Amino acid sequence: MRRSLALLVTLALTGSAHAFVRSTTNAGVPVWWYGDCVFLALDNSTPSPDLPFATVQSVLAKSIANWQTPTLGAGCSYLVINIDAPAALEAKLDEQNVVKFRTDKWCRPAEPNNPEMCYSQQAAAITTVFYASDGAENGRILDADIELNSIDFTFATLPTTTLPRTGTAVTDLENTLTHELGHLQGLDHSCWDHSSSLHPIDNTGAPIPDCADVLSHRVSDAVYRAVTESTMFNYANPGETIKRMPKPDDIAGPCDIYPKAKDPGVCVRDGQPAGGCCNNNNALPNGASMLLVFLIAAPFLRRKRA
Amino acid sequence: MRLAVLFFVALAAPAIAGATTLEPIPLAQMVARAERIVTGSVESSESRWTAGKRAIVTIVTVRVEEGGGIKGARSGELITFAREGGEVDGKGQLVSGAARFTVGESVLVLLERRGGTLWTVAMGVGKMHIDTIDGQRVAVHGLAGIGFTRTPPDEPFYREATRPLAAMMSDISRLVSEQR
Repeated sequence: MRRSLALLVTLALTGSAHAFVRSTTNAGVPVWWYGDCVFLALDNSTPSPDLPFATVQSVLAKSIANWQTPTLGAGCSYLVINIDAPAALEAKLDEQNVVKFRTDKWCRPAEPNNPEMCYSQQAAAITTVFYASDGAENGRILDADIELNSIDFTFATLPTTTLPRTGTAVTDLENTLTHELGHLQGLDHSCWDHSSSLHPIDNTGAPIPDCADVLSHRVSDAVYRAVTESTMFNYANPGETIKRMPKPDDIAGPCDIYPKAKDPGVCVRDGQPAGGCCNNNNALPNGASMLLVFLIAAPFLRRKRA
Repeated sequence: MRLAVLFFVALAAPAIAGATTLEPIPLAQMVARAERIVTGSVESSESRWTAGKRAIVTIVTVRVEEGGGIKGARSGELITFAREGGEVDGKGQLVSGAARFTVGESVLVLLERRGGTLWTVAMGVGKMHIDTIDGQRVAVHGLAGIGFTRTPPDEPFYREATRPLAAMMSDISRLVSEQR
C-alpha cells in the first residue's frame, strides 16, 4: 500500500508527465537502438495456419503504424520501423529481426550440436531481444525477434467472432503484435509482476506499481486505470483489442528514448557500423518504407474511420 | 487485508496478453508436469551461449533447503535447471516472461523437462520468490510477466499473488500425493 501511495504522490508531483518502463540489462542499463531505423521482416517459410499471408502482412504494417503515427508521424521521435521483404528467416542472433509463426513445434529448432529449445506451451508469443551488455554501446540492441505460437493458439483479426482450432485459444494478432513491438523498441511492462525480485523503476525513477495493486484499484482510480489500458500493461482480457492503440504513457516511450531533436542521422543494419544498412537491396529508404507501411495499413485505417 | 484484495482482484480481472503471452493452467497441471518441485536458495546463476552462439541460456543452481524437496528431490541436493536469456561475453538476451533469478534468493520452483533440460514450468509462472512478511514466509509469484488468454482457474494460486509458503507447499504436496 505504501508503494501505491508513493506512486500516486510521484505521479501527482510530475503532473502530466507520462510514465513508461524500459527493458534493461542485468545491470539496469536501458536497451536502445543505435541508429534511426529498425528493419523487420515477416518470415514466409512457416505461414500462419489461421490467416492469409497478405492479411498477416497488413496486420503487421498496421501494428507498426499504430506506434509510428503518434511518435514518428507526430514529429516527436526519429525511430523508423521499416518492413523488409518477406523471407525465410529464423529467430536467432543473426542481426535479422523477424516476426515468425511456429506451426509444427513450439521450439527453436535444433541446429548442429545444439538441441531444439522448446518454450512453454502456455506462451502464445515470445519476444527475444539481444543487446550488447558492456562497453561503449552497453544496452545497444543487436537483434529482436517475435515468435508466435500457432500450435496452441489461433490468431485472429476478429477475435470475438473467430472460432479456435481444436485445442487452441483465440488471441488477437494486432493486439499481440502491437504489444510485442513495444518490447522491440525497448519498452518493458508497466507494472511489477515479480518475475524478477528487483523492483523496476519507470522513466522518472519512481518504482513502478505492483500489478496486484493496479488490478485491485483499477476501477476506482484513474491513474491505475490508465496503467491497465496501456499497450505495455502486462495483462489482457480474452479477445481484447485495447492494446492495438498505444496510449500516452506508451507513446512517451519512443518519444523519450528516440527524441526527434537527437536524431543520430544514421540508418544502420543491426550490429553494423553507420552507413552499412542502406546498400542492402531488400532495404527501402526510410520514407519509402514508411509509405509502404501506411499503404498496407490504409484499408484498416479507413475501415476504422468508417 | 492484502490477501482479501488480491482475492477480489483475481476474480474481477485476470487474463492476459503479455510480451510473452501465456494462458493459465491449473496448479494441479503444473504439478503434474513438474519433474521436480523444490524450495531452496539460488547458489549460482551462470549464462552461456548455445552452440553456434545463436542464443543465451542461464543455468541456475538451487540448493534444496531442509524439508524443501516436495517432488523428485531431497533436502540438501543441488538442482540445476535453465532459464531463457542471460548475459555472456558482452552480449545479453532478454526473453519476455522468463523467470529471473538472483544469487542468494529463496525460491519455490516447479521444473519440467523440455528437450532434455529442466526449465521452470510455464516460464515465470513456475518460479515463486520466497519473502518474509511480518515474520511469515510467503511465496510471491505476481502472475510473473505473462499473458493469460483465458480466465485463470478459480483456485488460490491464481487468486492470491502472495500466499503463506506453508499453505502453498501443503497444496502442492497434496497434489503430488494425489497424482502418485
